[in-house]
Amino acid sequence: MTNGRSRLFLVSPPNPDPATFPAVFEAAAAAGDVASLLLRFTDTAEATLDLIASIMPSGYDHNVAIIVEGDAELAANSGADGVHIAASADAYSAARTLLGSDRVVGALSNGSRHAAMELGELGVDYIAFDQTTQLEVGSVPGGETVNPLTWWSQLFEVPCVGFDPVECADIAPTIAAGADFIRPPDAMWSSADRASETVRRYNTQIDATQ
Amino acid sequence: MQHSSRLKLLFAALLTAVLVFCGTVPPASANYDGAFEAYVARDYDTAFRLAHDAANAGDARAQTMLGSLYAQGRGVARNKQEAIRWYETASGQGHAGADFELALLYLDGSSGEADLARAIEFFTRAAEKNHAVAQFNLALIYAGADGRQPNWEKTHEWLARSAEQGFAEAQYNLGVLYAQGKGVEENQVTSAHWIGLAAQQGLSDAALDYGFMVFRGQGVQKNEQLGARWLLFAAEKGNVVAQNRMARLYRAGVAVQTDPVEAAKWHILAREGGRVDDNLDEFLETLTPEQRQSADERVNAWRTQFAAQAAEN
Repeated sequence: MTNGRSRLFLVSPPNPDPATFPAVFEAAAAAGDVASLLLRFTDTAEATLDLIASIMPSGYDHNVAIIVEGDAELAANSGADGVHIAASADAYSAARTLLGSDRVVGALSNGSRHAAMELGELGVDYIAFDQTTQLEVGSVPGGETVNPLTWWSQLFEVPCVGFDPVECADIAPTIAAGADFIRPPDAMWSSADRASETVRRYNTQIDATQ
Repeated sequence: MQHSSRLKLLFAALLTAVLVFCGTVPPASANYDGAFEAYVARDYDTAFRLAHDAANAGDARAQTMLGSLYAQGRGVARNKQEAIRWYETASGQGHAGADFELALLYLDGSSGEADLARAIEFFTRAAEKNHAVAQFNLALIYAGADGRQPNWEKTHEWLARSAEQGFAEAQYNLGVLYAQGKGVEENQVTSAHWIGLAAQQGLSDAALDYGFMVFRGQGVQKNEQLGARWLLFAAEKGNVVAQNRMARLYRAGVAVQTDPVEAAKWHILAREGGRVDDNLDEFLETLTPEQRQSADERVNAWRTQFAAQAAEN
């Protein structure tokens, strides 16, 4: 952890319900500090543009970056703040060319150290690691394992996301491991009350840690 | 899109270590993990030593890696027979990566005689285990890459399975099948969908075609600015058709700000790549000496950066 206070990196359920999700997200964003919302879509129907449009005002009001999973063109067309791609230098350069330097291009590590470092050098805005399951990136010859967040944060200024959801009790060790961004579990989206309660509780815990 | 849409055979050069060795999940093996780490770090002596131990202990991934180390002469003296022996051992355990390697050896004949039937047999084995590159290569063989009569239905079937797994080359070629109505009913929207996915993965041929589709609104929402961004990406990746098109767009100020120096830069690069354009040659003559000098400087800077990227890959 080198870049100040850790922040929340919210991740929507896949294909969020346009009827209910915007209000739940507004409750989350209004409840405390949130860095970003990653919107996950498994199909890019017309409805996704409407959903993004209905979420952007909350993001703007509360200074939460709205990031679209996997589809740089959807990000470009919808005016979202950025895209979250799989770790690949080619996909990164395509996304960067489409979105320009002002918008966010972040990547999810595929477990390859080489790919992560290449993206770090290319100028990726963040890199996310499945910190509890990605052993390859953290293991060294000889078998000793290293948390990928720790490995990364010692090498790069580029912030990193603990992409495996973190229970509130595990915030301190995750931050200690090097996470700049923390992802709460998806259960937070079950209602507006639950969403705002989660954001408050996680922020309190982050403050207590640092 | 006829200028660039075509089926292209893809051989081992494109494979990463991950694609080759991963696959079916064997019992955990610390030696294999260490060997993999060492391989990725290009420490082939260590990779060979650890893979050898794990292979002898029965780890199919390690057996495939060992075969690959013997085949390439990395960490050990090159030995095709040993390579084949280890691939066959891993293949016998059902390892798709080993099936794939054997298929390649039969295809190019480096194992002795080229044997297309056996290559197809091993590609099929790997493809049925969902090996995306094997599925892709099998599709291309059915497309007549070996000079036989094409079977477009089979080509479509295997391209679709590979594309569904996210393999960019397969996504692109599947999009081409839909554009041309081969093995499947012509459908420009489905074509744009698949070619767009391949473009997003950074495949420059796909970005070029997709850029034209977006620019014209062919199978996808028309958006000249976004289309131009895709063409710019393909141009940056060294595609001479895209470079020529960016030169024209910058010259005319269509979808981008008019910029004579950028127009000249892209035209000079496209011309070096063999893409002639008399109109743009005439345009070069109209530049001021300062503009021409700036363009030449940008050409040199682009070349330097492109060469550095090529060296890294």
